[in-house]
Amino acid sequence: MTHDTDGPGRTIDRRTLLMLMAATGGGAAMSGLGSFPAFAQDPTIELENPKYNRLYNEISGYYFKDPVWVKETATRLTWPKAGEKVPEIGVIIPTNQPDILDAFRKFATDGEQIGIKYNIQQMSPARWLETINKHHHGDIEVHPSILRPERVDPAEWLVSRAYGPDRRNYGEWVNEQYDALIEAQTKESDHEKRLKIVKDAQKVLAEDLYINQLGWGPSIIEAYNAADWEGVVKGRGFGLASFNLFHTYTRMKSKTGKKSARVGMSALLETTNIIAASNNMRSVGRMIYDRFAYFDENLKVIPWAIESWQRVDERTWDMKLRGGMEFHDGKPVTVHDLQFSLDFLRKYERGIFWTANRFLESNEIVDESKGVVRVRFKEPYGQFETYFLQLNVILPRHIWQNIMAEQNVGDDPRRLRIEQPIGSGPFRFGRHRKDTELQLIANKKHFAAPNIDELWVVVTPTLDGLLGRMESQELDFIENSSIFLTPSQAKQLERAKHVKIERTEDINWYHGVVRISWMPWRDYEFRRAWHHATDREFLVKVPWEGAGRVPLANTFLVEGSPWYNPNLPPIPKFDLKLAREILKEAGYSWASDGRLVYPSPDDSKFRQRIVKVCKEGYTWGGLKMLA
Amino acid sequence: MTDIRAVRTDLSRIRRRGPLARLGEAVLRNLANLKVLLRYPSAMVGLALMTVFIFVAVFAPLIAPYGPFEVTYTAERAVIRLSAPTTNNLFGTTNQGMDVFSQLVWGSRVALMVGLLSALGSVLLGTLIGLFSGYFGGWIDEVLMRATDVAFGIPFLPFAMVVISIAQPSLGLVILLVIFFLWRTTARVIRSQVLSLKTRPFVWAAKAAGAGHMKILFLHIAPNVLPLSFLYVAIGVQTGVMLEAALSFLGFGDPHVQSWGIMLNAAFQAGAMRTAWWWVLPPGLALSAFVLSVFMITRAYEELLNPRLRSI
Amino acid sequence: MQGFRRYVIRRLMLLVFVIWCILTIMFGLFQLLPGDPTSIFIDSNFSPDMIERQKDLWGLNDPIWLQYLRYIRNMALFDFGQSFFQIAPVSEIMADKVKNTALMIVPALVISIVLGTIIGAIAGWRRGSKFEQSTVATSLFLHSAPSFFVGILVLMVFSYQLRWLPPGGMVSLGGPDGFWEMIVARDYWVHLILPGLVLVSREITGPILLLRSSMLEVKGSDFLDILRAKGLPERQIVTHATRNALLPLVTYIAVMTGLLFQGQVLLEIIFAWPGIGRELVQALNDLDYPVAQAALYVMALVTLALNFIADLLYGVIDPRVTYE
Repeated sequence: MTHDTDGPGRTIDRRTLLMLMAATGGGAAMSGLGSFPAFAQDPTIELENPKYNRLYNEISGYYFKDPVWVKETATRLTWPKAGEKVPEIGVIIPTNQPDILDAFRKFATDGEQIGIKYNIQQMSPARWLETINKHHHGDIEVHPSILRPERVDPAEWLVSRAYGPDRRNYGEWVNEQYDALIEAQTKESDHEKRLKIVKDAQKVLAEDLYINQLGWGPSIIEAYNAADWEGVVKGRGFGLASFNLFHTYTRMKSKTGKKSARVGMSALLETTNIIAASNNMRSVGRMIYDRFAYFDENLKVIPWAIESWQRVDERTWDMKLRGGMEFHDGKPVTVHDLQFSLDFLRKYERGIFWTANRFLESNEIVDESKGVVRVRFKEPYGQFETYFLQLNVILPRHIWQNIMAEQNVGDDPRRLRIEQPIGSGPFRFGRHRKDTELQLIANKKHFAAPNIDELWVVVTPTLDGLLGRMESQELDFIENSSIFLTPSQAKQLERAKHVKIERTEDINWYHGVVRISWMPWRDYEFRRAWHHATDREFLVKVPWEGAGRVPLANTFLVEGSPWYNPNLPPIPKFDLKLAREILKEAGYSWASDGRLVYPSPDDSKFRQRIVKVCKEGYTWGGLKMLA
Repeated sequence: MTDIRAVRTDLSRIRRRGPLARLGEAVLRNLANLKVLLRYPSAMVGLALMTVFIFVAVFAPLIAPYGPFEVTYTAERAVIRLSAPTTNNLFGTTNQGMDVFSQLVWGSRVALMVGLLSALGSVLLGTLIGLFSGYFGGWIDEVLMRATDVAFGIPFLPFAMVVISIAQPSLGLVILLVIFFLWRTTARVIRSQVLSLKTRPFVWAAKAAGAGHMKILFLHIAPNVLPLSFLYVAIGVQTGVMLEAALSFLGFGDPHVQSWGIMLNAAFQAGAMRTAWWWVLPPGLALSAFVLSVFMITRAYEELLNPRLRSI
Repeated sequence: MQGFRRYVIRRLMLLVFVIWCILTIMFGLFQLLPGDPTSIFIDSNFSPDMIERQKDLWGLNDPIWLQYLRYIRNMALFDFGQSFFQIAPVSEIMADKVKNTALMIVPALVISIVLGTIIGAIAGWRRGSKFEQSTVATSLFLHSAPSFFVGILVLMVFSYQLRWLPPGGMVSLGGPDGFWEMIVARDYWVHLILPGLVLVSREITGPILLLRSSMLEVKGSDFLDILRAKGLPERQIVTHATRNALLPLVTYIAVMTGLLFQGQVLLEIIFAWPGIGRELVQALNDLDYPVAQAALYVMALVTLALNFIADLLYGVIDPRVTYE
């Protein structure tokens, strides 16, 4: 993008813009099609702390460089006139989350009582993702936590969803004290000290009323065929049938002599290239390729392909490779494979592996006979065990070393075609038919060799099909990235004699973040009232059928997570009367149609709150109101 | 009999009013023709069913004990979840404790609305295009018919899914899409009808008498294609309702209304198909009955239009 | 014959024109409306330079007219590019899915047409009989029930309750692979029974009602009287009558196949059949544009091709049609 949207008073007519777009822009520029007029006379949006300018100016098509964002944001950074109503609150809910839609219907009914009007819309999950990525989602962004091993690390949520300079901080919250804590915890390699900082950060988050935990859940309720299988492993937060924490599949035993188990999934891998893979293949791929370390069922870090690791200093670790491992083609796993994997992933990859490895400075073999590799990071590194070791995998050097040139994919390993992945993991990639089935054959030579002989992944696109096949014993498990059962579904399945229902302690949550940089959310008192007007119990009791917890505090790291802080300020109780009082106290009034009206423009307390955004005692570094 | 007489007196009054009224007269004449339908037993059944649906839709707020999204609770404030039919919840409840009977009643409104709007819209569009195309011929015909060809090449359900997932699901969009899908058949049929009509003597006569194109088209030709258009309205109602249900079932429906397709989708998504028969059967059967009733009326009407089918 | 050739050429040109129009509409739909397709694909962990590289790779940084031209060329050559997510050429994926869908609908179509023609012909000939009345009533009823509703019901009864038939999929786990291997396998036919049954129950009503009506028309026309006057036996007269009544069926079959090909997505989902419709739904959920685009295009092409064939066939069969 060469054209500059910062220049004040600069006008670009439609034709020039089209030419500019033709010369410079693809999709990103095109998304601005609907908004030329505003584009031409955009006021300058500024940040309180120029330090954050980098993010807002960094990526073409985002923030300041996205005319749609600029237009939407500018309207909400304008001081309300006397008697102006609080605008409609825009919420977009993905179509695959009907429970949240049901909850918001209730919130909207309650909202009417305090004069808040919602505008609830639905979008396909993919469109929704696109919309929130570009920050086009309106006032409230809602989403569930989907647990993956790397997300046990607190940084995944604390950083990505609330850290000022992060693009996925959907409400554009910039609390400088919070950001300082986040930067500190990233660099703190001592676990106890890091835990303390993480707890402090959670306190700031909870006090500033940025995120709104709508429910802790849904609970993990699963059904499996207990007539044939025993010894399943319930992993905290993951459940028993998850491929993300797959201990059940390696440790379970057959009761009947059956050696082949069937797992239902609603959709299977999109690609068998682990580097390009998103959700499904990320987990299935790590059953085929060995990760460095793993979690046990209590979320304690356990060694996996790396047998042990030694902290040398705050930037350096020695990792010792487990001895006697073999790839599925019979070749031994050596320290050179380990070194090669790190080099490869660091050199080429720019996605999830990149996140895990971008701080990596060097890796060298220090003791070839004992299989020790020393890794050194660019700066003190806090996420070594729970992120670096969890995400990285061992690639077979003899297959991968020339693969880039052979397949002629330039320097983009995401384009590699790997039909039959070969790793060293507990399962070997067997027969695969797209959208139908995948056979995972047990690697009996593995250090965590499965008791079963094979695992069939059966693709069943509908929930109805999954449940029906579970009832008719055609499935032994349902992989739980597809679904957690509701209590009524569990009750229905339980009637089949062979089915056993298990409930695992979860650390799930569902939250909403508000566009705190916008009016009216900039007003702490408005946020406080809104929190009191959120009926969290309804979500848990009705749509979730009681399978969940009413949140105790506004945090991502809920009770049960190893990083939970039990001393957070309690969540504001649902109390519409109180909400109304808070608003009244803060200078808000109500129009004749019942809609909420902003306090008078010369209410100095109000003005001060809007400028400061954060709660008393914290510093706002984000977007400024327009002059 | 009184009805017909009433219609006739209406007609005689209209006759004195000039050209536009004469078009109206043709419409009324066609409506009066519908009376003949009563001779067909299947049409009678269809009409009776349709009357029931219309009645339910019109008086939905009086008939439905609960709102379309209202959660029902016991006296102890517990959600009545997945309850089989009781006196309180005539057709039982959903997994969210919503009353199936009420949803069914509210759904009839959506069915009628989607059916009528999409049918009328598409037939209006199709008839106009057919009239212009057939009557004027030449480049107008060429352009309009090529547009029709293009419309015929677009696969509806996939196309609708793409559009809805790009835009946002809403009932209005679904209706628009159905109109976009349905007009093409009407346009072609009407056009061929017009082609044969315009060579008839009465058109010449009108021309000779100095009538303008528009006058000939709308006063002399249009009334003669109206019966066919009426047939396509009926077919459109049926197709529209079916398509809305299919889209809703696939999860592309409007989340803010409660249609029968959406009810089926919800039951399917909840995995309640095998236990909660009271949740699945009512919308499925209502949908079938609605389509069937329109279908019965259509068949009889079709035979009425094509006397050969009636002979022997 | 001259006239026929000119007619075919004209139809072909028209076909190309229509395909071009549809491609353009699709281009508009996919390129202009949804903003930036990269933002969904691009992992939130991506660095800014990676985003730019991906855009370059997909040609999204090229001017729009260049993207359009490239698109038209690629579509014409059936080069659908690479799937965003599957790291495989889309044309490969499409070929597989079209095959699977055909494996579901072709057998059902054949049965519907053959059986429907026979039943319809008999019903039309025996106007007013009990058989005719019950056939028409049943057809109307079958035609009115939404296929997804019927699909769920039969699944409920025959798979989950009685457990007579498999609840979906094309073959059992580890079952036969490859086209020929599959169609000779009993396993495939067993899996086809339920979706096939649902398809037939709906599609058969078309030929029945159509044949019945055209039979009535033929029966009412004069030429049968001439045949009778010639002293032909009644059975031969029926055959003659059927042949004439078949004419409209030819067009109908082609159109019906096209419609079925694009409308079977519901059954593919309910019966876990890995066909093209299900692929489209999946691609839309993932915003895998190349796949969604290709699926829509292939469905449109099949429809158009069948319409084209219907037009030609109609001309060949019905001697009354002239090409001028």
